[in-house]
Amino acid sequence: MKTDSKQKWLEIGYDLFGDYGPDGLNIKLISEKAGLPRTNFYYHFADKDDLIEQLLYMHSRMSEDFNTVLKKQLQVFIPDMYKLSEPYVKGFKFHRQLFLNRSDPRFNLVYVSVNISSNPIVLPKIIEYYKLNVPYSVIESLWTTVTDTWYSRFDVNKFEAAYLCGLTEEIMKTVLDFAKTKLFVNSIE
Amino acid sequence: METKYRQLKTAYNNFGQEGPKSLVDSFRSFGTNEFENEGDLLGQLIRKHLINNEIFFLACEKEFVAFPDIFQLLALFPKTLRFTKQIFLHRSNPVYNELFLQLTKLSPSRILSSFCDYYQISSNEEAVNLITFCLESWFSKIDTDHIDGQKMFRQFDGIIKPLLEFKKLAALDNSKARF
Repeated sequence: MKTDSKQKWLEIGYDLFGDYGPDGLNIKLISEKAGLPRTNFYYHFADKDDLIEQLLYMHSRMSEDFNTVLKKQLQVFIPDMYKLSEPYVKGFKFHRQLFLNRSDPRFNLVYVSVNISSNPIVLPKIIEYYKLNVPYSVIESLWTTVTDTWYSRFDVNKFEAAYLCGLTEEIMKTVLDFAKTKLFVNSIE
Repeated sequence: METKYRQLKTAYNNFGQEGPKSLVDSFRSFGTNEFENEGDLLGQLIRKHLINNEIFFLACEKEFVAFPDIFQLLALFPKTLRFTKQIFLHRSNPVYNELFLQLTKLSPSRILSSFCDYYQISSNEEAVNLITFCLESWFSKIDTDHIDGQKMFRQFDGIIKPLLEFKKLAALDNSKARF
């Protein structure tokens, strides 16, 4: 029973963080949504920072689960990646809030580490899909910026595979078009 | 007029700190003497922001600031920077998204050419697209509570260099790439 109530605080806290960011984590509001007295919060958590820490841990665990799914089922980057993402809408919303609030080092750390953790699974598929023939380390750095741009443009209200695929294709088209242009003064092209 | 100017300044700073949710409180505390409604207040804040951006660019021109020193100058405009960051954070709202995209394409030609000189790239439309693309990532990284010109430059440089590296290498093999 004790564990159930803690889980309720965490689940509602996770949703609120995903919708409104860290400012949306209001203990009174979670208490009302969970139907639990506020005193119960302090039974499970020292304070709001403690709740945030546990939410970040929960998010990391959820990302590990997602990586396991990707490892087993990701074959062709597009559309598989985003079809497999569909059940994880809450995780994506939470992750977007980490991105938007990354000036807080705790959020930046989890945002970056979760992204890096999926690289060994996702990057080979990206290289294959876009037929990229550049060193892995270069793709890794490039993908970091593409991911930032992706979260910067990502509209959570449109969360479905077709939209997510389109967003990635739009960004990658910009990158690949850019790769084809005459940009350098000292011509390498 | 003075009241309106003062209220606009307060609302501008509040928006930079709290984002769009500050509009409700700002409008409520001002009443309807100077602003018809929240939309009117927002419209005037956006106009003020565009003017502040112009002032920043004029300062760049006047001081002959070249890239990357522009980041040091930018650090002297914390309120303008905070406002833009809030616009960036709320770009899922089409009004703010449109404004953010408009702001990222505003670089005057002298700044653009100094940016291109620094990275040894041609000053063309692609360079503008490149800046816009980098700024989407850069705005997420800057900490507007602790503004530091050198750090902001390092963050920008850390974003653009991998893109340029990718371009160099991909250019050698772009015949096979998708698109």
